[in-house]
Amino acid sequence: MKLSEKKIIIIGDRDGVHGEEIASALEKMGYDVSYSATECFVCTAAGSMDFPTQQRIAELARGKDPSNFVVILGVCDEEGATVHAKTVTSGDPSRTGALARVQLHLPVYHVFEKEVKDQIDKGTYSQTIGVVESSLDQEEVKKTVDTVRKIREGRG
Amino acid sequence: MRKKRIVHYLNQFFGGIGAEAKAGIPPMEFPGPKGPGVDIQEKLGAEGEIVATVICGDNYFTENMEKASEEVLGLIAKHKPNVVIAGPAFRAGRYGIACGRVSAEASKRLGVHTLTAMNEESPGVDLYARDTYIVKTGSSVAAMDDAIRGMSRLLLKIIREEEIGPPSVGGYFAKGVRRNIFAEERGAKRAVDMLIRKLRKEKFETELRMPTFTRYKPQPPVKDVSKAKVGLVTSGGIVPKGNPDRLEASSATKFLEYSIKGVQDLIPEKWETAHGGYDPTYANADPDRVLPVDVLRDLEKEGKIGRLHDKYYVTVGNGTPIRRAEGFAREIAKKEREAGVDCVVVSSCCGTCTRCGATLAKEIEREAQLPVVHVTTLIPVSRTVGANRIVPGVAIPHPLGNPGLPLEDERKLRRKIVEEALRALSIEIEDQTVFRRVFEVA
Repeated sequence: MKLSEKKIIIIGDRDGVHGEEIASALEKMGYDVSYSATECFVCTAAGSMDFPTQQRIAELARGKDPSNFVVILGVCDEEGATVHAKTVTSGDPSRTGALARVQLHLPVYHVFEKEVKDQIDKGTYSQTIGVVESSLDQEEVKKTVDTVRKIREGRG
Repeated sequence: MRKKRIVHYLNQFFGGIGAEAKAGIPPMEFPGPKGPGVDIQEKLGAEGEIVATVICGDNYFTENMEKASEEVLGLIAKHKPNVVIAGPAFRAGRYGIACGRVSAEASKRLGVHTLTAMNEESPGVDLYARDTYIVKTGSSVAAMDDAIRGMSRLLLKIIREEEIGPPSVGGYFAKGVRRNIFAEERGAKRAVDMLIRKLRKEKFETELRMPTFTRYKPQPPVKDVSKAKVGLVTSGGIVPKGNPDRLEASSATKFLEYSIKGVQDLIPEKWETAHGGYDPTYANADPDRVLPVDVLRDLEKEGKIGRLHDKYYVTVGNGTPIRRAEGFAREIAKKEREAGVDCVVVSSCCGTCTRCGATLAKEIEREAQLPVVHVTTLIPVSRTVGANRIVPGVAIPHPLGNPGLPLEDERKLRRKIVEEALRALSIEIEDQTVFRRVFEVA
């Protein structure tokens, strides 16, 4: 996966890595960031992805070749990762938003994954995204990343 | 067999209208299934039909439950359902309360079968598990597939008039109904077997469940509020602007201590909410609507209170498990005690937030042996959890304010609520007491 060849969709999280933090690191590398949002666990929606975010992703990627895209997540808990990753692959689990019953099958990665990390300038990474990464419970980080990988590989 | 008619209740999000910003919408109805209802309908096949979906905003429902449930029930009854279903609500606190209330009322008043679904941490379980079937779910929409399966399975049993079975088989929360059964072994043997399993640290199921919430006797009041040092605590997430310590928007892992030394008013340039459980617009525009520092400073200057403690304690109660909230309370109690605080005001916003706040209130009260008052809009939740002194708040996103009023009138309103809270702290009570609602309900 080469970030330089992809249209990048970023879904950050307020309790994890913010969308802007990921976007600025990727833009510094000259990558094509098509869209960036920072989600927040919304209680009334039981953690679903926001309607406007789903709408925007649907507009960008629906009917297009998924291999032209990559989605990068910043959420730092297993449950949130499941919801975000599923929404852009098998469809919105809430069955309610623009991506309900829509299977985009976009390749989804977590920003902590090696495949992504290795394509970001080390200094920038360690000053921004890395600060969040190291402040977290490492077991939860591992679970989160594994969850995203599983869903990407169609095993989740 | 005639197809059973089903009406499905959803909140404004799962009804496809919008998230927090739309939580105030009144009840409305749509023909046929919507959102998760579409999947439930698929599982029912020809045996049942979701004839209508009734949708209501979570804040609209929980801020005025009598009126809202009346309206929702009216819409439901029109469709002459055989079964009413609601949710799944997962851990969404207000939604869980609404689903529970709608189901309970429909059972009672329409005499129909009802079922809903939510997570064990939803206050809806504490309030309504006895009145309706509540299918157990995970905490977020990540668990939607299982929730739909669980609801559909139970719904089909109801439609087919099959035996539902005990909670462990039906996948629902115990309703507190006791059924006589023929056990294979006598009681003494069962008890010893259970004990052995417990000693071996194996799984066992008790035959006598204890109530989940413990109650404590109210602490004596403060003798003289005009000499008392007042502490402030909130589960409503008020933090310095920018949330420097990254307090989580939900399922907070910590509480934080911030200084308000010399702070006369929480201005939006310096303070905000980190809370993800309610629309933050109003609290961000004026954080005193959640943490009433401004009027407490006024009261301090006027000598109506001794002084305001220069530190306050904050967490985000959104989705915070009870056990964790109890842990926070023990530490906060210690700090308040060491600081020589005489009484404490706790404020809360949304459903799980109120559950957390009520836990903080009762545990700080017990641990620090100080009178504590809980200001919240969701009185039934605070009562169930067991706060001893409760003062009604205005609305979920602004318990101590009303953005509809001119600023000066709003500040007067906030002062009235805080004065009522101080009155609550200076009155001797025997049992849990809900104090006066000092404002008109919209």
